[in-house]
Amino acid sequence: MNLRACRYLPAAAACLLLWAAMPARCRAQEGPYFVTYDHHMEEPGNLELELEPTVTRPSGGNRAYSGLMELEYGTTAWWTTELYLEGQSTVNDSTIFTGFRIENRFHILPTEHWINPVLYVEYENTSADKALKEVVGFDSQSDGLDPNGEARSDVEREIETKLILSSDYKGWNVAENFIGEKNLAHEPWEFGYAFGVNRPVGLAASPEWCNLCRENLRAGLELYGGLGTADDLTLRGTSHYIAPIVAWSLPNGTTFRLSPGFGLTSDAYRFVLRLGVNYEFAGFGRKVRQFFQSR
Amino acid sequence: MRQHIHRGSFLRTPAVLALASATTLAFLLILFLTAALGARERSWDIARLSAVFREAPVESSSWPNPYAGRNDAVRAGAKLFRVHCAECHGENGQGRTGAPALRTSVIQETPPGVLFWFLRNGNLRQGMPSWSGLPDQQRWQIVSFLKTLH
Repeated sequence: MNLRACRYLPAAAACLLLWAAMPARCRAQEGPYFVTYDHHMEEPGNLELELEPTVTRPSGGNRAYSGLMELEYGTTAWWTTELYLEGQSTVNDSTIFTGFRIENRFHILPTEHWINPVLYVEYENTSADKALKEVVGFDSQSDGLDPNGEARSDVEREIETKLILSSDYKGWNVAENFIGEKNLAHEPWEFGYAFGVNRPVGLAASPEWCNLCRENLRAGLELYGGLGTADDLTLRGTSHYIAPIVAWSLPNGTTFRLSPGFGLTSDAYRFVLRLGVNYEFAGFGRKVRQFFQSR
Repeated sequence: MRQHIHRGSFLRTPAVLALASATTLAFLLILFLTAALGARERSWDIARLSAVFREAPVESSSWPNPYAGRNDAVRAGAKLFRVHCAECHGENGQGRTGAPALRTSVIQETPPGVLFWFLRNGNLRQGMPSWSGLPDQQRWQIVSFLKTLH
C-alpha cells in the first residue's frame, strides 16, 4: 500500500467506527452469499442498497476491478425485485459501465418446508462484464483477456432463470441454485449451478447490544460453476469455484461480507476476491406511502 | 509497466449513461408506485390474528419454550424484536397500519409453540414475512419477549 493511501486510513477507520455506532434500525435475514440465493426474501417495504466490488485477474491478463450496485426491494412478503448497475475498471485498459440487470424472485409456497423453492427471473443487458455474478455454460477466465474496447461491442441481452431450493436446519442454511441462461440472440441455453451453506457463529442472541456478538457473525462456503450448454451438457471446459464467506452484520442494518474464491479448474480464474457492503432502509415503502398520503 | 486507466471513457458513452439513468429511473418509479399503491395495507384485528394462529399444527401448542422464565432471554428477545419486528409492529408492539398490535390478550393466550411456528412460517399472502432465517434459539427468545407484552 502506498503512502497516499495510508493517509486515508485514520479517516476510513473513524468512518467505520461512526457507522458501527449508529443506532439500531433494522437487519435483514438474507444469507451472506455472493453468488448463491437462498429462499429468504427482502422484508416487505424494505429497501436494501448493496455495493459489491470484485477483483479478478486472468492468467496472462490484467487485473480487473468490478463494481456492482444493487437495489433490492421487498415488494411483498413473497416477491422481491432488484436492480443491478455494473461497471469495471481493467488495469492498463479502461473504466467502463458494463450494464444492468433487473431481477424478480417469487417465493412459491405459502409456508416453510424442508425444501423451499423460489423462482428467479432476470433480464440482463451487459457487455465486458467481469463481476462473475454467476458462472454458466463455458464461461472462463479467457473471457477476461479481451480488451474492453473489443468486449463491450458484444452486448449480451439475456434472460436468466434460476430454480432456488433452500433449507434451514438448526441454524444452518443450505441452498442450491440451478441456473438456465438464454442469450436472446440465437445462442443455446447455458446452464450452471451454485451451492451454498452458512451458519451464524452464535445461535442464541446475547441480551446486550453489541457489534461483535457471535450472532452477528456468519461463516459459510459457496461452490459454483458452469454446466455447458443445451447442445453440449458437460463439465469439460467449464469453470468451477469454491469460496469461503464471512459476514458481519451490525445492529444498525449494515452488513460487511468477504469472500476469497479459488478456481478449481484450469478454465477458472485462479483467485477471485469479493467484498460486499449492504445497508437496509427499513420501512422504505411505508414512508413513501405516508409521503403520498400526506399530499 | 505504467498503468493507464482511462477514467473518462465512461463519460464518453452518453448512450450508455442515458440507458443506465433511464433504467434507474424506471426502477425507482416502479418502486415508488409499488410502495405507494401496490403494497396494500390490510387492517388486522384480534379475530384475524386468532384465525391465523389456528392454522398452526396441533402439536405446536405443546412445544415448550426452552427459555421460559429466563430474564436474559426476554432481554435478548426485546433486542431482536427491535431489530427485526419494531419497524412494522411498533417499538412497543403497539402495532401500525398494516401490522397488528401485539399487546393483546391473543398473544398472551396463544401457546408459545404456536407463536414460534408462526414466526417460522409467517403469513406471506398477508404481508407477514417468514423468519426462518433466524435460528430457533432467537425465535424462542422473541417469543419470550412477546409473552411479556401486556
